[in-house]
Amino acid sequence: MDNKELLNKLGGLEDHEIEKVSEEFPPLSDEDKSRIIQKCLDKTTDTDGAEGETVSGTEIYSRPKWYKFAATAAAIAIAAIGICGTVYLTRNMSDPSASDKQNQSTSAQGAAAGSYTITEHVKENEQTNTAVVTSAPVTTTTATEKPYVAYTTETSSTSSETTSSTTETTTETDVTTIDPLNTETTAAATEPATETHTETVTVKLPVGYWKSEEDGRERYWLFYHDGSGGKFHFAETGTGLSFTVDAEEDHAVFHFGSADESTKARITWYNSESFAIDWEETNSHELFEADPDEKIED
Amino acid sequence: MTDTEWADILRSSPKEAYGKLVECFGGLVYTIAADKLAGCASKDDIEDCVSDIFVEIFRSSDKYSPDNGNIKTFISTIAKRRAIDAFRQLSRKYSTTEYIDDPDCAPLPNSPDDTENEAEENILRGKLWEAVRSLGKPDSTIIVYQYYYGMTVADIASRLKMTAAAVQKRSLRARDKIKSLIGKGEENG
Repeated sequence: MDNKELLNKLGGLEDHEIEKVSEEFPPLSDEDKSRIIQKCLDKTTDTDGAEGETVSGTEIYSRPKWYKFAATAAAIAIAAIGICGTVYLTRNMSDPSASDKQNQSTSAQGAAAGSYTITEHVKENEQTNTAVVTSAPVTTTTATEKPYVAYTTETSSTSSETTSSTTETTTETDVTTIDPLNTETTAAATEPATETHTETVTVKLPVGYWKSEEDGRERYWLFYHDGSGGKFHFAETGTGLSFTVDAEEDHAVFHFGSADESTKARITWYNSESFAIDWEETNSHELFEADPDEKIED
Repeated sequence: MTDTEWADILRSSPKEAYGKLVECFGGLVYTIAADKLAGCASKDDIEDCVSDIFVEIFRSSDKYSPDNGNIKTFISTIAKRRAIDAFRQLSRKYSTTEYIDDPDCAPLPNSPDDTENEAEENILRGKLWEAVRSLGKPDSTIIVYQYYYGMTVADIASRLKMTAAAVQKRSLRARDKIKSLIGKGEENG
């Protein structure tokens, strides 16, 4: 062991020995002590405040006066923008002229029209709720007929009387507008509807060739052109029945086989090629699709 | 000063408190710090540690009461704790870890159960201090300043008002004497 290693073993003294060594061999000169005191003060000043200084009171902050006016003006502007914007949007949403129901054409119709002719072409004016009848070419093509006959029931608010009007099928191409309020009246055939204050309900009875499915059973249907009735048969067995149908307020009443039998049903149109019938008696839901193959014989 | 007076001083202004504390206990705190930081700290590191100790003493003044013990015990406790913390920080900072396979690596410290070696170390330490004290001043002072407090030759020379060459010469002679004293002691004992 060399001298250095030997003398490095001087450390590791007990507490009483340390105190004795500090007295016997004082390590700090006056200069060392001053330096240590200054270091202590610097460390204390950084965190505790300079030499025991205390802080009290608050500094009063003077806010510029124009801040208040600017803030008030900004708040008023934001409120005004919000109110005007709400009013503008509300007006746009409630304006019926903003909706576009007329003059839409479709390329396909629900019913095949090969067996009957078109006698009238009706174009409806939404604004005045009246119908303008124009002549239309007779055609036996399938392109332009509506797939239903609409029956509208009007309830007047001034009296308890109700009137009803019937409409003919037309060559009108607008078949996607399934709107209960679309009255489609013809000037010659119907009594004038009550004014706009009446409530109208429309039942649309299908016409033409359709096929349906309920609980896995398929049926083929033919609804007569005049909306009076039709016939059906099951695809599986070929057996079926004829029926008549009446429109009543918001539903249809089918009479299968005889007039004594009545089956209440609600018809819901999805588009020109599909609708559904909810049979009240059986509480069942039957989906109908257009049958271009006309699988039921006329 | 009594412990009660010290309690009042600790609650006075920092300048007054530090002045009195360093004057009376500066040497003790410095020695504690030097003992714990031996081998890993420079003189500046030891002084930083000492100032941290006194700052903590001042900040902990509300925890001191004469009823709980004397002021020296209070100060020594804080000093040892802070010095050990400083040792751990400095050990990490200066990367004082060594590889055990390195031939220059210092021997491993005694295991807690190695009381025999620990006792031998204590005996050797005692003999060393005895040998150092037997040198008489200023040689003993030079050895203690140089190898216990870790001061430089220049520092020692300015404190003892000697030249650095004289300090170096005395140190060399003192070391040889200590070694021979220790050697003789082992032969006899």
